[in-house]
Parts: sequence; structure tokens; C-alpha cells
Amino acid sequence: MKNILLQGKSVVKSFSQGDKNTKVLDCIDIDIYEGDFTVIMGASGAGKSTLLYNLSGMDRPNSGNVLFQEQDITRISEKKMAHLRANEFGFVFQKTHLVSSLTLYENIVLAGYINEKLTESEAKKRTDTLVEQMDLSEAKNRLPSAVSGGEAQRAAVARVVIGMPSILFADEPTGALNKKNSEEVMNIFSSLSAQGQTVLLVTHDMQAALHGNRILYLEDGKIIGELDLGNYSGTNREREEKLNHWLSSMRW
Amino acid sequence: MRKYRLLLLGTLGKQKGGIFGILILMMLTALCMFSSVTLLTSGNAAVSIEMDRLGFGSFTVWVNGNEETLAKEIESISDVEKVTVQPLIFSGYRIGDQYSDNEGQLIVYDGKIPYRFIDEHGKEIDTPVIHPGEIYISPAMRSSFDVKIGDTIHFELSRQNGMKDFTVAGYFADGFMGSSMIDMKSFLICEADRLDALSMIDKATEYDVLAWRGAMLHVFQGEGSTLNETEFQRLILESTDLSLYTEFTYQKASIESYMLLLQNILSGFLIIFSAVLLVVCLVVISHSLSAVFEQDRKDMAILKTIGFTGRKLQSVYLVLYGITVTLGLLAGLLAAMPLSHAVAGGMVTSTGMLIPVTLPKGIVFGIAAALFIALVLFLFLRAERVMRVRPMQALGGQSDTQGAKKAGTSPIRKKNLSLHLAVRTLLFRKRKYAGLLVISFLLTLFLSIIGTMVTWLGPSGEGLMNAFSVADHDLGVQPFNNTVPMDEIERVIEWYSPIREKYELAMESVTVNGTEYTANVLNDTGYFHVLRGKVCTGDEVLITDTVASEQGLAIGDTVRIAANGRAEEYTVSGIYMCANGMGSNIGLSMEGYSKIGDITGYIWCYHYILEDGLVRDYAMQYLQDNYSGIDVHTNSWSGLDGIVMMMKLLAIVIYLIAAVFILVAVALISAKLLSAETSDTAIYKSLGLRGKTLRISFALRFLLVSAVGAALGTLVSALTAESMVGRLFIMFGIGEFSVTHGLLGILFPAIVVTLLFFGFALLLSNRIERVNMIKLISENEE
Repeated sequence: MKNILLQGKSVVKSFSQGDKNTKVLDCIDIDIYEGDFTVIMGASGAGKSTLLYNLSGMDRPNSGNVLFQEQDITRISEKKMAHLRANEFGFVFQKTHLVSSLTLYENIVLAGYINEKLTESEAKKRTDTLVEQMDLSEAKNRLPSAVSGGEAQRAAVARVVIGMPSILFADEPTGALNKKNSEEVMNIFSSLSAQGQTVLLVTHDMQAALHGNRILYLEDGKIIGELDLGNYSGTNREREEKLNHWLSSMRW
Repeated sequence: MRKYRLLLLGTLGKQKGGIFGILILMMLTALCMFSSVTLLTSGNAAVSIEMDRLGFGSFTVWVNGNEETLAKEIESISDVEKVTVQPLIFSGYRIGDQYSDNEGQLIVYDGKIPYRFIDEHGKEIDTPVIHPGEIYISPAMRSSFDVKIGDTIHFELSRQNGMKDFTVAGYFADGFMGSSMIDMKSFLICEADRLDALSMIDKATEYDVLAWRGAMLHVFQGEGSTLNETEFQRLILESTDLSLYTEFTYQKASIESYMLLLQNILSGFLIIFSAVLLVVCLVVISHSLSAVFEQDRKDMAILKTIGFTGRKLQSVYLVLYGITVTLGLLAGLLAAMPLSHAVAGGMVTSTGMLIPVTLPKGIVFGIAAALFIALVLFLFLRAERVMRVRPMQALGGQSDTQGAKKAGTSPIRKKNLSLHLAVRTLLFRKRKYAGLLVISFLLTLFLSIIGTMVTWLGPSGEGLMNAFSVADHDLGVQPFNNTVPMDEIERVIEWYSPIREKYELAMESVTVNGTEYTANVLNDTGYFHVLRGKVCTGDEVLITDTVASEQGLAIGDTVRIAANGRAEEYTVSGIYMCANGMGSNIGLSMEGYSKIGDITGYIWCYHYILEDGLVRDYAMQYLQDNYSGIDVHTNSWSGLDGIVMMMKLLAIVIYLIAAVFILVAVALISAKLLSAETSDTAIYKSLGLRGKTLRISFALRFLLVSAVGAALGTLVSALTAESMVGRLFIMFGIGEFSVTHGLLGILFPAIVVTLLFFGFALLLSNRIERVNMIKLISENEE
């Protein structure tokens, strides 16, 4: 029996533009289990990124609740939310969103400093390890503007995992990368997942989705399908066909 | 044209906050500059015109008798155009418990001299009829004696029933002596009272009489005379018996300087301050334009791709900012007149006269035109950057100025993370903060100079007291006859405080190489404030910088000093400081003066330095109330409080203007920085940093930059302030300007400037709290 780490209950999100009110998330119920690599897929405009931001506390739903370890994060103060972001949540964006004035190393170690569980020396030590693991040794002292997209995104992932978050959110992390860099980044996610890291990924890239063990399909603000893909142990034809077939059934 | 107008309005819509801020800064700068120039020129023109209107000569001599004969004697000299005689009565007076340090001059008002009369609010009123018992005074006495309409002024004409009381009926503008900087004061009374006063003087015995007849002789130099002012005065003194009857002499230029001394100093400082503010404006405009160009680069690139030329785009910013600075200049110019009127009205208790404020059109429009041309040129050069925008680069996200390529060298640490991030961002984007540094430097420098002046002045004006007094003292007692029990008086003083030091001073009228000066004679020359050279012995003399300059003298030169029909040669032993009479005085030893004057008369004033100087006013009060035949004074004068108050007010006004400038500058610069850093702010928030922490970090950058600027300002001020102010003060006879600051006094302006930058930045960074991480999502979707 898996533990529910994050839970969305009747989550509604709508945006107004003039007189027009568009409902992007339509009363969604969703459970994210500890240790799972959950992937949310769907067509453009289906509301998958909006769902991710509402579940991660980056945005607040119009109604409904989001529970993290049974605590309703839609009702907590800015201070408590900041504490969650620093210690429990990690977020990887489509664009790397690294701080432009800091080197890759500093971008990573900064997240460690903000994390309350790590001391300064622990943060440095973990940064050194992550730099090594993510093959950033050469680029670590360069500014984000002076590195490749892949290096920047690997640094962005390292920045997120340095604090050993309870859950890692990723919004189209390979969207701006070429095939090679995409594979590198997704392999890191898989590796983290294999180590027990809970991951919630939004993507419309089938190759990226293959790394997950649980796929949810979103359409018109509702989850209309779920696929258990089993644990990832390298991409194989059978796994790809299974996902392909399922996505076809979702009219993807 | 329509497209151009749309573009102009669109840019205005986007930049309205910045445009408004620059408008405010320009308006304040122009207001400060134009009103101080207006006050300076109006005041100086008004004093000169008023002195001419009231009949002041090329120079005026106050004599103690024989005025008609002297007038005829002087008029017979070919260089003299005419001499007019204005009779008066010299008499000491008391208002409430306060005794005057100098004799007042009772002048009859017969309507022949067109004095202007002023009401309590500083407005000119119709010429009144002065009734017996009424007296009209200078409005400056309101600040020096706190005297109001209806108060009584007691004139002690003689010891036996010789008190004549007058009720203050109103104020008049006294063009010769009205200023609070001049201690001698004139009073207008009616003919009946003058006759009554003269009768009381005549009836008094020689022993009892305290007041005496006198006159002002206004001597006018003929148009054909080729002599300069000093030569002309020397000619009169050498050719007539005038020196035998002279109480004091003032040239027109000296009185003009005295009358508006304070106003000129204030206006001068405000003009310099305006120049500082102008530089601050340029820094803010420059920063604002840079930020706007950075923000609008993509739009500019798009406009270039659809056919707008770089020159046309440049003209949009030139027109927009050009109109803003022009409107600011015009608004400041329009507001300068009412402000100048209000300030002139408010300063009537200091200047003692109504100053008709007239805009010096030529000067003001000249300054405005020069400023306009300089600003437009500045804007043109700054807007040249538009020409460098290359569409492909800009649309591709490349900056034309390229940001820093290397990371800063300052490491970030977990402890004090806000501070480390602040330092790091500063080092990374140091060019963006250069403007703040310049603003902080300039404002601190100027505030430090003002602070230096206020410190020199001291809480009760000690700086001026010492500069204007011959030698330091707490209390001075001058007996007028041999019945004064000086031993008893000294016991009374000692009852208040032990006497630490005592010496004697006489102030006598002498001529030096034919020109009249006051000789300060000391029995102990060690008390003179010698600046250069050495104290004088029996055949030596000390002179001020003013006398040295007027007479072309240097240490070692020989001068001929004459008094009472006797003359001797003296060698200049040194330069000393005494700003009395704008520095027109010399220092002699008792032995030296004895060669030309009588030292046995009642000319000596005993000066006391007390262990506890704070009790001097109580001791003076007691002596004045209980002893007659003496003059008691402290090392102060009645107008000093007004000067101290005015200088402190000036400091407060300048601090307030500086605060407004810092607020507007921080508002403009922080808005641009925050706008450019929205993404970074969202990233920091997504990592778990709180808005409060980010605000502190943001404000710390302002604190750090302004602290560096303020430190530089303090340093430059420490190195240059004394010499700069000293050069200014030497024009007023104050030969030495040195200040001993406490550490807090030195650092105060820097601390205030730094804290204002920090406080305003913290206050105005509330936008950070509102930065939503959705920003990062929307960027994903771009």
C-alpha cells in the first residue's frame, strides 16, 4: 500500500479575461504517491502545467484543497509556504531559471544554504557531489549565460535535489533541450526516482514520459485516464508501445 | 506623423512613473535655483536702492557733535558732491529685562526721509503719524529682543529721573541698520519726543548724563572724483577735523554686505545646493534612460524592422524627456516667485527690511536657457544608444551593452545570506548602481559642509561669537566712572562662578595710514587670536586679513597709526582674527596705544573668563539690575540667536530637500531594478526565500552603495570643507575657519544619507512581495 504524499481535492482553477471566464482545472481529484514517478500528459492547453503549479503551491486554486502530508497548503502563510519550498518541494522549470549573477556552482549551493536541514559545509559537500554526478565539473564556475542548455538544466536539477526534497516537480524540463541533452536530464530523473525520489513531471514528450511509472492524462481540465507503466529500467519497445497504444486511446 | 504620435504616447504610457519622478526632481532643482538667485539679486539690488533712497552717502560718519561745521568743512573739498546731516540722539536702552549692548539712535521722523513702514506680517503699510510716546523699530528686533507692538522700550538718558519710555507702535524698514547682523539700531520718534529728550539731556549734569547728541553725516563723492572708496575716505579724514568727532564710519559697500550677510550666505549655499541637485537629476535621468532602453530593446528592434529609423526612435525619447525637463524647469520657475516672496517676507525679522522680490529676468532666463541646452544635449547623447540597437541581436535576446561576463569575486555564505546576495548582485551589476553612488557622494558632501558650518556655529553661536570678538570671554564689565565698586562686582561674579582669567580691553577709534579703523587694545596681548606672525609688543601692531588686503600690508611692514592728534609708526607683527566691522580693525597692546592715546580714562572693559561659563547670563542680569554706571555684556549679541536659528533652519531645509531627492531617486531606480529582476526574484522565491528576506537583501544593496558614496563624501568634506568655507568666510572678515568635530558629528550626514537610502529602498521594495512565481510559468509559455 503506497503512502499518499500529495493530494488534490476538487481543485478548480479558472482565469478571467475581460468578461470571459475560462475554467482550466475542473474539479480535479488527484493523489500523488510517495516514491512514484508520476507523469501528467495532455494536449497543449489541457491544463497540465496549471495543475502542477497549483499542486506545488506556486499558484493557488480558486477552490478545492491541496494537501501535502495531510497539511492543506492552500491555506498556509507565506512564511510556511517558503519553508516548504526550501525544505520539501523542488521545482524544475522548462526554462532553466538559474540566477544570472551566480555561477552554476553557486546556483546549486544557494539552494542548499536556503534549506534548513543542511549546514553550510554539508551544502558545499553535496554540491561537490552533485556537480560530479551531473558532469558539471567543467562548467561549474561559469555563469548561466556561458554554458550550454543541457549544462544549465542539469544544474537546475542539481539545485532542486540538493535539499533532498520530498517531492520534485518538473514542468516540461526537456522542452528547450535537444535530444541528447533531453536524454541526459531524463536519465537523471530516472536515477533519482530509482533512489526513492518522488517525482511529478508534466510533459508532452513521449520519450520523457517513458521514464515514469504512472501516467495521467488530462483533457479539458479533467483527468480522463491513468496508466500504470511499471518501474523504469531503460526504454524498451514493449514499454513504448504500451504508452503509445494508451495515448492513442486517449486521442492524443 | 500619426504613427509617431502613437509611439510617443505609448512610450509615455509605459514610462509615466519615471517621467513623473524626473519632473518632480527637475522642478525642485529649478525651484531651489531660481528662488535663491531671485532672493540674492533682489535683496542686493533692494538694499542698494533703499540706501540711496534713504540718503546714505558714499560713506556715512556717525559723529558726536559739531555736525554742521564738519559738514561745511567736508563740502568744501572738491571731490565731495554734498554732505547731508541727519541729527540723532545716542542712548542706551532696555526692553523688558534685556539691555542693549550698543547705544540706540533716536531719529525724528518728519516725513522728509521716505522710510517704509511694515505691519506685523511683513507687509508694507501707509506712512503713519508718530504720536508722542510712540516709537517705530526695525522688525529685526523681533528676532533679537522678541519685542512686539505694544511693548515698552526704556531709554536711559540720564541717571537722575532720566528714563524716557516709548511704546512700540510699529516697524519700519531701516536700510542702514535694520539687519539682525547689525547690533546698532535706529528708532523713529516724533519731534515733540526728540525735544523732550534733548531737554532731559540738557538738564542733566555732566556726571549724570548718559545720552548725547549726535548726527549721521552722509558724505557723497562727486561724480568727477577719481578716488576709490578708501582713498576718498582717507582724504576727508586727513583734510578735516572729522576724526575728532567720529564715533564710527561705514562705507556703503560695508553696510550693504552687513545688511544681507545672512541672506547672501543662505542664498549662496542654496545656489551651490541647486547645482548638486542638478547633477543628481542628470544621474537619475541617465539611469532611467538606460533602464528604459534595456526594457524597450525588443520593441525598438521590432519598430526598426518595420521601417522606423534609429534617429526617429531617438527623437521619441528626446522629445519625451526634453518636454519633461522643460516642464520641470518651467514649473520650478513659476513656483520660484511665490516662494521667494514668502521667504523674503519670512526673513524680514532678519534682514530688517522689505525686499521687493523681482525676478531677475535676464539672469533667470539665461540660466534656464543654459540648463535647457545642456539638458537637451545630455539627453541627445544618452539617447544615442537607440542607434546601436541591432534588430537581429535584440530579438535574439542579446544585449547591446553585454552584461558582466564574469561572476563577482565575493563568495556567498549561508550566514547573512541576504547580505552576501546583496554584495554579489552589486558586484555583478555594478554599473547600474554607479548613479546611486554619485548621488550619495554629492548629497553627503554637501550635507557635511553644512554640518561643518553648523558645528562651527555651535549651539549658541559660539563660532560667530569668537570670530567677532577681539578675545574670548564670558563676561565683560566696563565702568564709566570711579564710583563703580569693581572689587564688589568681581565678588558678585565669583558668587556665580570662580573667575579663571581676567584681562582688559579698550576699543578706540584710530586711523591707519589715514584710514579709520577700530583699535582693539589689550593689556595682555596673549588673548588676541593670532593667525600668522606673533603677538604685538609696544611698537608693533596686529592687523586682520581685511586690513592687510585693504592697505596692501604684510607682516614686517610699517604703518602710521594716529589718534587724538598724535601719530606713531608701528611694525605689523602678525595677522589676527576679529570679524568686527567686517574685519576693519587692528590690535594694539596697552603700551602701544599709550603712545597715541590716553589710557587713564574710563575706556577699559574688564573681561572675565569663568570656570562655569553657563552662568554668565545670570551674573550679567544681576549686575545690570543692581549696579549703575557700568556696561555689562557677554560674548554675544542680540541678533546671534536669529542667525543660529536661521542656519539650523537652512540645515533642516537642505536635509528635507535631500530626503525628497533620495526618495524620488530610490523610487525611480528601484522601480527599474525590480522590473529587470522580476525573474530572479521569482526564482529566489521558488527556492524558498521569503519576500521579506529578498526585500532586506535589495535594500542592503542601496545601503552598501550609498555607504560607499557617503564615506567618500565624508572624506572629501573632511579634506576640503574647512578650506572651502574658510574662503567664503574670509569675505566677511572671518579670517580663520576651523572646526573640531566629534566622531558622530563627522559621520552624521553619511549615516542619515545611508539610512535614508536603505529605508526608502526597503519601503519601496514591497513590489517584491507581490512577485508571483507564475511569472516563471508565463516565461515558459513565451
